[in-house]
Amino acid sequence: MRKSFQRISAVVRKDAIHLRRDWHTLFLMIAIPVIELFLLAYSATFTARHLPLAVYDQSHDTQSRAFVDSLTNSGYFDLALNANSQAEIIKALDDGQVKIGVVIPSDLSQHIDRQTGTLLILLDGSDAYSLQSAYGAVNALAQKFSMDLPLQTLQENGLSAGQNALPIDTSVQTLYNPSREDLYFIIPGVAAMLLQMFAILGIAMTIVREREWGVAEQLLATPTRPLENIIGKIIPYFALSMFEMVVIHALGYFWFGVPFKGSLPLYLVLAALFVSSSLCVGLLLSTIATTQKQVQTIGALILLLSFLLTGLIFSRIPMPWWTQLIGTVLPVTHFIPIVRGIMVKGVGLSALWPNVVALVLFNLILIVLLPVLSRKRMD
Amino acid sequence: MIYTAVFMSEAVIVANHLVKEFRSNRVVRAVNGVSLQVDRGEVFGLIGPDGAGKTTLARVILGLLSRTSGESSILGYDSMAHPYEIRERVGYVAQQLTLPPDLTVVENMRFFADTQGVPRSAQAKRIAELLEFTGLTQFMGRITARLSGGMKKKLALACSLIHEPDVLLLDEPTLGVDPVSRREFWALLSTLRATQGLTILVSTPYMDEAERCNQIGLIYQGQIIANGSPQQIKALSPGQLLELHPDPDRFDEALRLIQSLPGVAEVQTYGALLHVFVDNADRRLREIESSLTQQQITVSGLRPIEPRMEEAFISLINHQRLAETGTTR
Repeated sequence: MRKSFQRISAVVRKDAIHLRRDWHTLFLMIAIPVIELFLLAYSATFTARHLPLAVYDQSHDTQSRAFVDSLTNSGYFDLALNANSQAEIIKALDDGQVKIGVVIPSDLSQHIDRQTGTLLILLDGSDAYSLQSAYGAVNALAQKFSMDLPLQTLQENGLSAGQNALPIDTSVQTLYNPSREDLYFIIPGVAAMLLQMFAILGIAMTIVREREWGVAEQLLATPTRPLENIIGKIIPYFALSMFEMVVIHALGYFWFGVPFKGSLPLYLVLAALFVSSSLCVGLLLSTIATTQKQVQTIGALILLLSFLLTGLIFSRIPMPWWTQLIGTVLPVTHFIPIVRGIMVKGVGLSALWPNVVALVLFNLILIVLLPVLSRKRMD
Repeated sequence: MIYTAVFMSEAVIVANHLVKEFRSNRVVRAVNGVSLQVDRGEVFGLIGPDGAGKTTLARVILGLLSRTSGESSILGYDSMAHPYEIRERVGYVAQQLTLPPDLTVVENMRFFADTQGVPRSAQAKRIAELLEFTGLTQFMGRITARLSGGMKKKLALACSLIHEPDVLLLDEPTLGVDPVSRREFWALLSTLRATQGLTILVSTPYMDEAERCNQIGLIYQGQIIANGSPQQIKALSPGQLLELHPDPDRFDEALRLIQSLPGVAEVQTYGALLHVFVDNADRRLREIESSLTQQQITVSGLRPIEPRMEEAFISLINHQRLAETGTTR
């Protein structure tokens, strides 16, 4: 028992020296997730604003100008081109100069009076992302504009419609994120994903590197049990991952101002479960990969899958069952609802338990796998 | 099942009809029925060309690889059933540098001391002794990767001795090491054997190192084709040996001519030299000289020489090859 502890601590200290000596890699390991966090937080916005707009206004009357103003005042669109023909707008869309074009027919005011007003909106469908925002925004703005018109007419005729001019008034309330900040959505998810990659790659690289060096063979020739070696590797990478987690969340809280509404102790416990789940995936990866290069290549694939299939950006609900299944084997899929739930919503275990169960399962797999993975021999 | 020392010679390392097959696309028998015995205090040299199965044999005996059939044990512990009892009592130096390269010399020694369960209180003294013994004291703070090839091997040896093992297993410890360092390394092994009675199994492709062992096993294609003391192995040479340096332009002609002469058992080529095994050195020397002169092939340096391990080994391999082709026909 004493010797077993001595051997585990020998491996821990050896791996700590590896990390300290190779401080370039250590620095990159810690700094790159932080840099990625900044890049993603600042660049990945889900609502496109200030989209360049082209207008072909054939009326040039008060109504048409009012409509164009309502578009530009919304902040979604910036007037980039006053076109003189529909063809000019299409050319501007072709060139990517504008993302949206509005064609206003001549005599808009008269059309409005006869209730036959039609506006042509042209959208750049090749850019799915701004299309979605522009479509939503221009529809809403046009509807509001046309709803305001009858009210205006009433007022001009000296009548007051009061509050109930329209039969239904929707009152939409966004819970948890009242100002609908994209960061509240991005930061927790990105933090989870970066943590996962850190843990998976860290442990897989160190194990495969030891094999490449031949140190694995020399270590096998000592009384060190393979299980002791693996535990000795899990300890430093677990500690390092937890440290990285604190760094990323501190940045999210202090720099980006994303609130932390839920219970911190609960979060730390579940984050520990998540980190050990990721280490489990890393250990599995180390059994498949034979070189560090393979680890990196498979790591890049895991990164891509984590972006696409885990609910980090795209909702998992509309996905086909098989891509959902692929997402399920990545720990981050189960941790994203936890981190968003605790940070942004402030919910507790009662809401998160299915995800917690999934992480517990990952850890059970880890416990079952460890003795299987720790082979006594080289073949 | 622990072997007790009843006899003067105690078998420390034993292999019986040991077979190791690797199965990938086809079955490769890397170790093909090896039997050997190394007694306490012996230095047993496993000599053979690359790919003969030396590394695999060492790994199977140590329990690093599983065996296909047969038996092997060290100090009475079966290689497969009791690998950890073996590893606590055996020092192992693998073929390539297998120490963590970014640790310093002394960090590596401490690491292996801990993995071998050497008490912390005893480590400082033991490490200092081994650094002194291997001459690495002044390099103790140096990163292992920056040591010379010879020093790396000495460090690997020092690490393998940290737990005062009874047995040393060295897998081509001098491969790729300069001649001076090789000599120093072997001097260390001799000291270990003389002062501590260590039992040493060492594999090497260098024939000159075989002379430093007191038992030799010649391994070829996974089989021990001969074993015994260096003198016994050399005695297996077919007769007496002549060396000559024929006209380089007519080398092949000279080779064929000598092969056809009576009393010539075998001819081996060493660069521009020919080594000829004959039944009677004095008589055949004159005959070879006269037949070459008859054919107007100039020859120089024709003289009898003492057979070395190398000639004996090549002769044994040639016979092995002949026997194999003979049986397949």
